[in-house]
This record gives sequence, structure tokens and C-alpha cells, in this order.
Amino acid sequence: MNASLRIFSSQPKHSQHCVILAGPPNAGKTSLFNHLTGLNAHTSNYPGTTVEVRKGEVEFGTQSALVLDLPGTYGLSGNTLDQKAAQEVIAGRNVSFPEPNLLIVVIDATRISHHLALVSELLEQNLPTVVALNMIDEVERKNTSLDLKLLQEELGTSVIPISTRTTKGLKKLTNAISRHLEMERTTPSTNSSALCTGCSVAERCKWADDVSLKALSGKEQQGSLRSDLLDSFLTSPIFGLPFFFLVMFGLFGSVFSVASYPMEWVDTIFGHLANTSSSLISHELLSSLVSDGIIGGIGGVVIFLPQICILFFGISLLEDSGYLSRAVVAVDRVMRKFGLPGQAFVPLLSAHACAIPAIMSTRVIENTKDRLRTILVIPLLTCSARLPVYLMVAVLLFGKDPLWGSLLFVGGYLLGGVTAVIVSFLLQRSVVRGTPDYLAIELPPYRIPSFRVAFTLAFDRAKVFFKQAGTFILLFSLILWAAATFPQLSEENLSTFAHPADSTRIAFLTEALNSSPTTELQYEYDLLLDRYALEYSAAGRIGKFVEPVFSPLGFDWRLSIGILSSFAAREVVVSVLSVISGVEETSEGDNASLIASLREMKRPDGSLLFDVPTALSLFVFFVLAMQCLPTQAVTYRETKSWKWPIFQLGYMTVLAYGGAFLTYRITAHLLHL
Amino acid sequence: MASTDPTTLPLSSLNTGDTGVLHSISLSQEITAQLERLGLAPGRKVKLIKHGNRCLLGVAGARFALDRELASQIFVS
Repeated sequence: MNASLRIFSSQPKHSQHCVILAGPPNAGKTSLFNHLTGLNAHTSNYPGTTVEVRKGEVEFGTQSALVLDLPGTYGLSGNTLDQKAAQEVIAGRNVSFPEPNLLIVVIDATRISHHLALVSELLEQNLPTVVALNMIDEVERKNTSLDLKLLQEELGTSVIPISTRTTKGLKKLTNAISRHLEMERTTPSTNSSALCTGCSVAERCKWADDVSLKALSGKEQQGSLRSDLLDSFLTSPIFGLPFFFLVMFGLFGSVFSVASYPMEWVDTIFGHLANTSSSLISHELLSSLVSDGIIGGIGGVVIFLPQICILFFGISLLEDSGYLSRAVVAVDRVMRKFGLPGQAFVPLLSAHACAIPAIMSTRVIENTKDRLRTILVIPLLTCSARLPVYLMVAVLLFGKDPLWGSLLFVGGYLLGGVTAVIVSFLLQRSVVRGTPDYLAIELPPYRIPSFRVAFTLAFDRAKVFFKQAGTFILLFSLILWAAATFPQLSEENLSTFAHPADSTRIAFLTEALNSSPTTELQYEYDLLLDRYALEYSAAGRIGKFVEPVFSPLGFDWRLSIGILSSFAAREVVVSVLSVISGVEETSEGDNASLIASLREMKRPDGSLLFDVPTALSLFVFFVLAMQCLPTQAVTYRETKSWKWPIFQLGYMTVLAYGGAFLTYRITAHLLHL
Repeated sequence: MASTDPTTLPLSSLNTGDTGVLHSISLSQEITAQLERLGLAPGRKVKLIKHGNRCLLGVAGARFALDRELASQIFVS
């Protein structure tokens, strides 16, 4: 019954009270929720298209209550997943949540008649209700006279003017909430005869217009001429599209330039940690476990935290400013040609941070076929989990050269985006036929974006990411470390296990080290021992076994281990390669940089493992491959069929393998390798 | 489909800046319901902010972008 709801945190003990925040999109509901819950909310989504029910425990005076933030909705009668979810929670029919005690309806004071129709519907839900009239500061600034008393009488419930921006009225609202909670659950005070019980939407709208006209003493609220002009500009095909590309360029440009500083700090800190721990722990195996398995594994992914936070921060600011909806209009025409509706744009944009919230946010797309196409191509877009791999390849190929490094990143984003569009185009003509629905979208008022909302969102994402790094990725790193370390190859067995070409050298080295040991000889011996130890380990054997499958792409058995282990979560590959190269290099104890040890990995013939064709082939593979179990699980849940996640995995694997193969062959040919 | 009332005309044929009263929507029940939920309900005043493949409308203090295909099936008087 609650399949359409997603609860991210563990179930809290049901508090006595439950307060629901409901309202239309872009009325500041998320902002109010953040004010009420602070940083204690459990969430994993992004603003505007709040598709999950977010929740937080809040103390209102002496009462503690669970506050739920419902998805923004225009009405309760609709059939979208969001609206159904809202209906269930409000009616107390959702088993995951306690029955609601109080409903807070958040509406925009600058668009009263537009929002009152929803209020009338919510007032009929038989719940004690408080209307929070947000953005009251804007109404005051425009000197509009707004008769609150009349509004309150017409609605038959208390109306509290607030501003989430200036925090005006918030105290009054929380006081009202605690007063309501202190009283027993009573029948609502709504004077429903004044309302439009059971009306059609048109009748509700008429009622809403009448009430707002009275409350505004006969004046209509209208958008400004400046907004009209700006809208015409931003949505026009001639100016709108170039402007859109400029904004996206600026967004991603700032993500990379701003994030490069904190990323360097993270890299240095983890490098130091690894060095310190390996010098502190004398036991060789234990030292390797801590510095390679734990620190190396986690460091490899935490380094991308800054980029994820900054991208979400930027998306939140753009959404809040009102621009994203205009961007939807600007790109709709282009996207339609490829079987994607304009509404798919925001999910596709947020997919550049993470496919999971992106797939869930496709619920805003009403047409099921449009939605399915969008879901199927979302994992092709460059999510933040791919960035570790992109960066690894960029540094391997171009060192610290920022220009070529950025070009590689742009190449990754473009390859993913263009492939997604082409795949959608093909899907529309084969498996998922049908033309996209025509565009009909509200353009919310332009506003100065809230840094607070953006910060909260970035913080939320960081929490989710850290949790992932601390649990799933840590576990994976440890398993991989164990698989790459055991069974251990003893020195006695080295010469029997080694390749015949190396065993004579090993025999010579053993003898020479016994009679007259030198550091050079010892180093060479250790290198050979480490390499064969990895090959001897469980991971090595598996890698060797699957190597023939991946060798056409230029991947050796060590990279094959990386590819195999990254099918559950792609970012793991960097950790895996860090662990493998770390395990290989214990003789040197050089943990100063994760990347440096990767770059020195060699093939049996002594050439570098990461030559240009191999590095590029690995890159293309990771751009196109479906390597994320959680995404597959979400695809299953949202499509309610195993067919689609399997299809996703299948077509993306074929694309990745084919793309990597071509890249390897073509670059090798061009470079005459 | 077209409106039978001769006094009405498609929203898309309004001039930029003109206002009309929404009379009827000649689209599938599903899309009509979707538009009504957005607030595009009969009886409401609609201002055409900008013409084009994507029409911009002002309704009840809010603004919308609508595909011209949809706007041509919405009738105003």
C-alpha cells in the first residue's frame, strides 16, 4: 500500500503527534520544513520535486511531534504517485506514519487565488488545519492590502502570515502548532458551509477567485511586466537555449573549479592518514589492512564529496530562483524530438548528481511511457559516482594539466548525455512507443534563492554519501582487501608459482640475497613477490579467470577485478584499484598519493598498465556501463517489473563493452600501438 | 474537435497581451483534468503573455507555459 512512499531512515518510534506540511509546489514548503526541523530531517531528494515524504522530529513547546513534508501538489484528486501518496498520508491510511493531528497548508501570499483551490480541498480532509501564508514580506513590500481577518473567516480556520525568508511569523506559527498539539484531537473548526464541499475544480477555482478578490479588496494579483519580459527571453528558442547552455556551463564549471580546493585537502588528509597509520602499525598485515583496505578504500570516494555538495547546492539555487522551470520550457522543444518530455529535464539534470533521486523525481511526469523512457536513460548520465573514475583517468593521462583534464570531463558528460538522448530516440521507435505529452507547466515567480535551503540540501546529500562511504564502500573495500591478500603466497612457493621466465630470476635473486644482499636486489625481489602474491590471491585468480572477456578492451586481470567488483557500485573501482596497487606496493610503503601508485602499475612486459588506449577504454566503459545496484532496485520499484532493470543492465552493458572496444582499437590504431 | 460556441476562439489566436475568459477545453479528459488542477479552469481570466510554440499565460496571479497544440484546443470568450 505504501509502495509509492520511500522512507529513508530507520523507522523512528512513533511519537505521540504527527504534523503534516502540505501545499502546492514552490510555495516555500520545503523552506518551512527546514526551518522547523533544522538539520535533523531524514531526507534524500531535491527541492521542488519533493517526491518522498520527508520527516523530522521537532519539539513544539512541551510537545514533540513527527513533522512530515508531503510532496508539493496542486490537488488531491489527481492520479500521480505524489498525489496518491499525499492522500494516503493525510487520511492516516499509510501504515508507516501515525495518524496526523494537524495539517499545515503552506501557500504563497503573492498568488492567493491560485492556491486557495487546493486549500479548500485540504480543508475537507477533516483534520485540524492551519494555513501558513508564506512570502508575506513580498505582499507588504508591494503595499497590497490583504484582509487577513476576512480570509480567516472565509476559510473557517486560522491563517498565519509568515515569511520563511525573513523568519517573520515563524514563532507565531510554532506557538499555534504547540497549542493545537496540547489540545486533544478535536473535530476541525472549519465552517465547511462556507467552503466548496465536493465541488468540481472549476467551482473551486471560482470560489478561490471570489475569496481572494474580497480579501484583496477587489484587486487582482498579477505578475510584473519585468517577469513577463524575462520569461519571454528565457523561454524563447533563440535566446533561451544559448542562455541555458551558458547556465549549465557555469554550473558545472563552478562545480569543478570550486571543488578542486577541498578535494586537494581531502586527498592530502587521507594520504597523511595512510602514511601515519602505516608508520604507527608495525604488524605488516594489519598495517596493510588499515592503510590500504580502510583508509585507501574510503579516501578514494570521499574525495568527491565536495563536488556532489556543490552540484546540489547549485541545482537548489537555480530551482529556487525560478530559472529551472524556464529552462524546462527552453529545452522542451529539443527534448521532445528525442522522445523525452520537457518535464524530464529536471530529473535528467539531477541525475548528474545521483540517478536514484532522479529516477524517483520522474514521478512528476504523468505519461507512463514518457516516464519509462526517462527512467531507462537516466543511468547513462554522468552521476557523481562516476567522477572518481573520470578524475582517475584524467590524472593518469594528463597529470595536473587542468585544460585537458576538464576536456575529458566534458567529454564524459557529453558522451553520457548524447547517448541518453539517442537511446531515448530509439526506444520511442521500438520498445517504448508513443509521443511525449505536450508541455503544460507552471512558471513560479522569480525569487532570490535561499542559501539556507541550498545549504541544507547539500548537507543532506553529504550525510547520505558519508553513510554510503562508511558502510557499503568500507565493507566492499575490506572484502576486496581480504580477497587480494588471501590466500597468502609464501616465499617458499614463490618460485614454483611464478611464471617460468621469472622463476630463474627469482632463484638467482634468492641466492644473491642470501650471500650479498643489496637494496636494489631486495626491491626487485619484493616487487616480484608482491605481484605474484596478488596473482595467487582469491581476487587474482578470479581476475585471471575473467581476463579473456575484458582483454579485447585492453584490461588486464587487475582491471578485470576492478570492473567485476564495480558492477554493484561503480565508484568502488577506484577503491579497488587503490587497494590492489597499495597491496602490490607494500614494499615501498608509498601511500603519498592514490593516483601515483596507480600510474606505476605495470603489465608483465614492463610497459605501463594505463597507456592511453587502455585509460580511454576504461573511461568509456564507465561512462556507459550500468554499475549501480541501488539504481536497479529503484528502477524495479518505480516500474514494478524486473523486465526494466534487466533491460537497463543489458543494453548499457552492450553499449559499454562495444564503446570501450571501439575506443581501445581506434586509439591504439591512431597511436600506432 | 472544436468549440461549438461561435463566440469563443482558441487561446492561441489571442494577441500577445490580450485577456479572455476561459470557456472550455477540447482535450482528452485526462489532460483537461491535469490543466484544471493547474488552475486553468473555465470561468477564469487568462492573459496571453507571449505567443509561440510554447505560449506563456497568466492565470489567477500565476503564470504557465503551454504547448501551442494545447493552447489551440483551449477556448476563450
